[in-house]
Amino acid sequence: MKIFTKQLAIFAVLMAVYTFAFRFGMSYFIGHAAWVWLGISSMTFGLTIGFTAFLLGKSEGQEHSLFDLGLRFHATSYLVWSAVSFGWFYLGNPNPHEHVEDIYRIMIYWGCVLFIHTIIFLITRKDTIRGIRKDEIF
Amino acid sequence: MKNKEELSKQLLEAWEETHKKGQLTLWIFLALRDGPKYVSEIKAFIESNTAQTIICEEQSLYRALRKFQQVEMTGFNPGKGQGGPDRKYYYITPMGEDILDQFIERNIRLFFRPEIESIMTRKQPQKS
Repeated sequence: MKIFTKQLAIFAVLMAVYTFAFRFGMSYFIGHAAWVWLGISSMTFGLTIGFTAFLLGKSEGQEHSLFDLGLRFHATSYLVWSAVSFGWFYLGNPNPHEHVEDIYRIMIYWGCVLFIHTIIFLITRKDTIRGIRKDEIF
Repeated sequence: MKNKEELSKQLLEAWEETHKKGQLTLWIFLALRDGPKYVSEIKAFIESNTAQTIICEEQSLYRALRKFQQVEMTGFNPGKGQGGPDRKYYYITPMGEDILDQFIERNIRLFFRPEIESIMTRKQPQKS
């Protein structure tokens, strides 16, 4: 089964750009107490990721029919978000009100969701052959 | 009477619609056993050999062939297009051939058994 695909690589790059823009904006909005804009940017960040994953996932689904599509995109989001967030915190220009513990906390909560997603993937994998659901091959 | 005819027609169409979904796979493999083909040729083979009862979109064929390739039942070789871009000439793999043989033996040849054939050709007497 092909794990790394062109669409996944594009998604990882876009996810890094989105996360960087989000963290930059978040630090700026916190510094200027622009809470409404902080909320808007958070929603935009989430929606943009969802929309991008949908489009690239759809394109990949048509090309490869991999049933684990969601998990690979989900795991990629998690890893890229964490890497960029730590990068911004230690190498970038975070607001003094931002704490690294917040990144750890989100990683733990999100990690639990990713773990459940992985369990579901492992359970449903039994119903597949070469990454395609048995009832969708023929 | 007209209602009965209409009902009968609708039921036949509904049955055929369901039947065709499963039949497409068989026809794709039969087309490829006949020889390597590109998608338009597979489509033409299926439509002419089913007397147009199975009409398939090329997009559906591409989707199916991608899945069969992923499970190693088909493959393709690039070939020259006629004045256009290169085409993919699909072929059936030895494993695909073997699975097709088994499928035909277990599911298709049954219909050629004399007792089943006679049932299929038997006409029910018309009730008055």
